[in-house]
Amino acid sequence: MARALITGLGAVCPVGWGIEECWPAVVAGRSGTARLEIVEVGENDCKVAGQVPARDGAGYESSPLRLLDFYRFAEAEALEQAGLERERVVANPRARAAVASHGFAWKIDEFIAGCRGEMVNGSDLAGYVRRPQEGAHEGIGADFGDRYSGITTACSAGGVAVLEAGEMVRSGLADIVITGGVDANINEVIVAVHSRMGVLTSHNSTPESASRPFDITHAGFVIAEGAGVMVVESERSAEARGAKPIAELAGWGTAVSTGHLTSGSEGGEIQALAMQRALDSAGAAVDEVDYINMHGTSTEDNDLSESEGVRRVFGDGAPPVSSTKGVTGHLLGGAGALEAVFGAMAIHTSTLPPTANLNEVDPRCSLDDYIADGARHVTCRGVLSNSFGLAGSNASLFLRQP
Amino acid sequence: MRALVSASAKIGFGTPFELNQRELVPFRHDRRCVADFELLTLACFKELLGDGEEVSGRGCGLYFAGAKDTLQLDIDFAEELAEKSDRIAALTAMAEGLNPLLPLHKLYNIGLYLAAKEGIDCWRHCQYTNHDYADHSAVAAAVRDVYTGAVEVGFAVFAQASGGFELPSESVGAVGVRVVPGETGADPVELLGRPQSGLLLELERLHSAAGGADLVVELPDGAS
Repeated sequence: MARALITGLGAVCPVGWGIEECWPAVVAGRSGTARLEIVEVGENDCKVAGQVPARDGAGYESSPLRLLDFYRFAEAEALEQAGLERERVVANPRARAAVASHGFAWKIDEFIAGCRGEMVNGSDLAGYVRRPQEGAHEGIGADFGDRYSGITTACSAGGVAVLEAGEMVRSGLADIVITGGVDANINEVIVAVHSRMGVLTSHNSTPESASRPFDITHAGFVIAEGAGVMVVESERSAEARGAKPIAELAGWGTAVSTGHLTSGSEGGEIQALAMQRALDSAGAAVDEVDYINMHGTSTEDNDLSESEGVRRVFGDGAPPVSSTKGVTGHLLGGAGALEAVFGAMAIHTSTLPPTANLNEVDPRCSLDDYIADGARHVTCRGVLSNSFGLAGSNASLFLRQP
Repeated sequence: MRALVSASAKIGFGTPFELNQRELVPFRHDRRCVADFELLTLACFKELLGDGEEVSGRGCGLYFAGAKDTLQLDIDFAEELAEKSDRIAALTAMAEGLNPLLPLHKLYNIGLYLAAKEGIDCWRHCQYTNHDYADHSAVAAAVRDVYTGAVEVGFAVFAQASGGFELPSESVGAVGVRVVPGETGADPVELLGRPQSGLLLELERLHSAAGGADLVVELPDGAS
């Protein structure tokens, strides 16, 4: 079995474009969530979001192009770090791409027009409304043909995409895989629907600190947008090219919980299974994990059950954990990939990022150390990165020093 | 990479079919969320499972694919929204009309969820959606994971539902294969991507034409 190495990273999120902007903000615990201004939402809906700042003076436009802007930027950054040219990767029959996205970018006006069968901006909106995901994945990876996998396992999708890349390399099916996740889901429809589900934050008056994973006042997640991309390749390929590995994608696990359509498993049992499977697949022991990047959505349900899941695997000896969603909000399909990027950066820079906006740990959250007191500068040998999704899709990745 | 297609199933795609929605989706109670995709997926999956076989645990991988992007709203509701005088009214109607547990067409992973409800604890799972080669991705993942031993049996299922739009009956249905280890036999079928659902429909046709005998399939790895 081939070792899977990470040789390039890229990121776009509410605290910036590129690793050089994003990572320092994550380490500083500087939140990028803000009052939702880019779209109009209903009176009773959540009014906080993690919006990617405008670049080059560009305004916000809810469209598939915005999603592709995020993805292409992060992909280009990852490829540049890996020392690869996209055209050559696409042309390489031993290269593949596996990317998560839900492509939900249309607005209510467009939806209504589509229902009426009207044309908008010269396009067939009925087709457009029907095909936002398909359009996103065509934009991301159509040039790879059948070597592209478009993944949609909800909020676990970014993690599952990285897992897929690991399987492709480990099995020998590919030498190089571009992988990651991207979503640009801040629109009136998705905010309304999630508000109605009761999963979005109620801290409308303090938008900068509205995402509060594990805090006693955690009250729902902050919907956000952006992308995380990485280049995963076989050790042989990296050595042959002289590419410097950032981390090893050493293991991964998935598990499905059936207790409830939208909630985690009771006592974190199934999340624990995903984590244990990730460690088992790497042949790693629990004491090789120096940090866990938690799914940590800032919903009571997740924060409690995930903490219990960690405790099931690690007992009283759990390593420090944090959720970077306090800074970025929840990128949905992009979250797992972005957080895997941060996990690789934790190893690469020997820095454990803190949980932002965590002032008083919810006493029901059962772990000892949520890194509430700022970043830690310590050697980090191994990282678990968790991503959990709707309908019981749970994924966990294990990264370690290359 | 080679493996065997040991079973196949096809529901719909121009052939008559009837789904017992109440049995398959007991939690569904909102007429406006048309979960045909999940119904088709699960019905196909159950046919592939057969009766009384133990496939849970480490040995099982589920790989779903499909044109799930089709809005899961019925025609009446879509027309109702279209008649609203302004966007806020439409938004309100949409929010009020939806089962909050099933937001719009975001019915992600429900095929997976329902399969797990059947008692299937899968070791691997994935869902590929809405690009031309989604079904190829699902089959390729099943073959890959069976070949490497990551799972002992893989199920790849594609489904396409009509949602709130009219689609020809030939394009609505579910088709899937059961993949197990093995590489004996000459002339393997090479798994190349085709327009969506084309690969799985072809595998089902070949498997049926062979009288249900194991079909050797090969996933090109790009090595020269």
